[in-house]
Amino acid sequence: MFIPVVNVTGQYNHLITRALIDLGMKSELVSLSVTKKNLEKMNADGLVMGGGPQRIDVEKDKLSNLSSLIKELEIPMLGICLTHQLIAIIFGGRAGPAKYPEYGPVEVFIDEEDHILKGLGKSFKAWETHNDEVLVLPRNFKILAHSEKCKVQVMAHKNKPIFGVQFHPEVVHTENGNMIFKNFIELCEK
Amino acid sequence: MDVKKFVDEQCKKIKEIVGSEKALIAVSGGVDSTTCAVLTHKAIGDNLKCIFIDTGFMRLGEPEKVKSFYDGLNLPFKIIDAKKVFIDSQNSLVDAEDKRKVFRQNFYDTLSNAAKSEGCKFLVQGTIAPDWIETKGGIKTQHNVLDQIGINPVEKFGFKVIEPLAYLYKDQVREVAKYLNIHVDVSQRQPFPGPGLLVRVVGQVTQEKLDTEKIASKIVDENLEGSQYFAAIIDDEEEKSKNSIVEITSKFFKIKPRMIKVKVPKNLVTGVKGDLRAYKKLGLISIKKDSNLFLPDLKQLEDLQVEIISQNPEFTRVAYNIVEKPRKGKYIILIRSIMTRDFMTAEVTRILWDKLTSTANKIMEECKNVSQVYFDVTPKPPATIEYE
Repeated sequence: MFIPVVNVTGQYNHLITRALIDLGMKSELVSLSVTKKNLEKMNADGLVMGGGPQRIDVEKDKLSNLSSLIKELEIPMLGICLTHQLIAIIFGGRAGPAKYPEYGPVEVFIDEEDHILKGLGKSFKAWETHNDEVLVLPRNFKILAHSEKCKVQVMAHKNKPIFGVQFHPEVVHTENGNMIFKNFIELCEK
Repeated sequence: MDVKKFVDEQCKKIKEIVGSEKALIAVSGGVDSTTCAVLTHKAIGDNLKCIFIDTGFMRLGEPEKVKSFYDGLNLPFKIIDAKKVFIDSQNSLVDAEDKRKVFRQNFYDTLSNAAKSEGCKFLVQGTIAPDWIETKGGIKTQHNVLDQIGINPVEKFGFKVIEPLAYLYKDQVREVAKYLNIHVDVSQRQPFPGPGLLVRVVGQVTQEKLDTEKIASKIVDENLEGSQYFAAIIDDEEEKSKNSIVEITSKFFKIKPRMIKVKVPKNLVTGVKGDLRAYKKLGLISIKKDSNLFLPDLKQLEDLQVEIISQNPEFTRVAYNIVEKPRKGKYIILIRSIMTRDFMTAEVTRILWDKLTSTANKIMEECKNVSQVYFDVTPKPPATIEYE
């Protein structure tokens, strides 16, 4: 199976490909200007999108190609950090500066497992690095997890395989972070 | 990862690129450059020339140690003494990025000369994933990254660059090193930054400050533990703008504000927040309780650090005092110890206070110009592992 990772130029984007490869997938970084056609040619079974240094409120124009792509695609999608916030905006929610930015270890509490958080227990320690966050959840989404300072740590579309996570499952310090990728891979298999 | 496949593929690739030409590699004695040297030697034999640049920012005894190790490996090896150029050119610099960029210039000038005199058309580098990721992302300039940020090495320095390990992380490099039978002292060695102690002498470099750092560094090296642990030095000069660290600390520990002393050095330190470089302030906290040094649980200090940094955006690190009797002195020593797999994220090592305070006391004994010693309680992010 092939799951490319959109390189949004964040620090851990390359680590996402490593996490997927370590789980037996084929994966590589693809650029922000990747198109639906490119992905079809590569036979992408799913798409993961990384984080990046862009501020979601003032720099989202830099992500306009990715925004249209997210609307067009029908394969399972997982947005991490900045692209989690981008998904929220695309589907009618709001994102912007967090009152309390989170860096390093944060306890994340699971509200609803859905498929993506299966096997992660009631709470776990996740590693974060964000100045912005999802402020208003889009209408067709539900919250799957929160932290003390950030309401939307994980969200899922109510009837499509589209997920957003604010923390970084790809870094080794996030407890069982690879479970999230395992669960995502299962969804791509379907 | 499939290590055998990786080694076979890279050897083949190196052979194809270099052909019968000669290649140069700058080695530091660390796991990345050593693995890269052994791998390349496997591919092109003695057409690989290894040089060790003594920049003057090495730890005590380092050049000798590396030489004896390379003699054992039977690789063509030479030491270039460039101490004067490297140290003199740092003379009046204070800003961390200025220091790193001048170091990079000196580094490639030295390599360019060496490549010419050795007749090498290729430069092999042990660059690994975090190096180009951090440089490209503008977090900090690693000394060994050129191509990825648009510097053309052929035009500028007269050689082509080959980087066989560019997509690996430290733990994967260690696997390759093990497969290549590199001695465990090197394959498991803790990383030492390319610019060496330069990035652990925070702010302006002077000979006295560098010499003090070398002694503190040796003491920490011999007494502590972690994936990486070291000492850094910073000027004991305070800046006086307002922050809410005393209030937050007082509330956190339910201790009267007058028992808490917060110092903010003038020198800034490097961090990373939300994928952006954060060259910001360091908060130094001391607490007395019943007139003794207060040593709370490290986990609590980490939680306190979270509160301080999330409410004071101009800060990127917090460190905690570990000496009973501070005194007047020119410098402060910072002890850092972290645990990590790949150096992209890191947690603070839970070291017992006894071990930390006895190490701090040794530093106070041997370095008379040091006023105080602090232990860094900041993970990565929001701090980077090194201070600059």
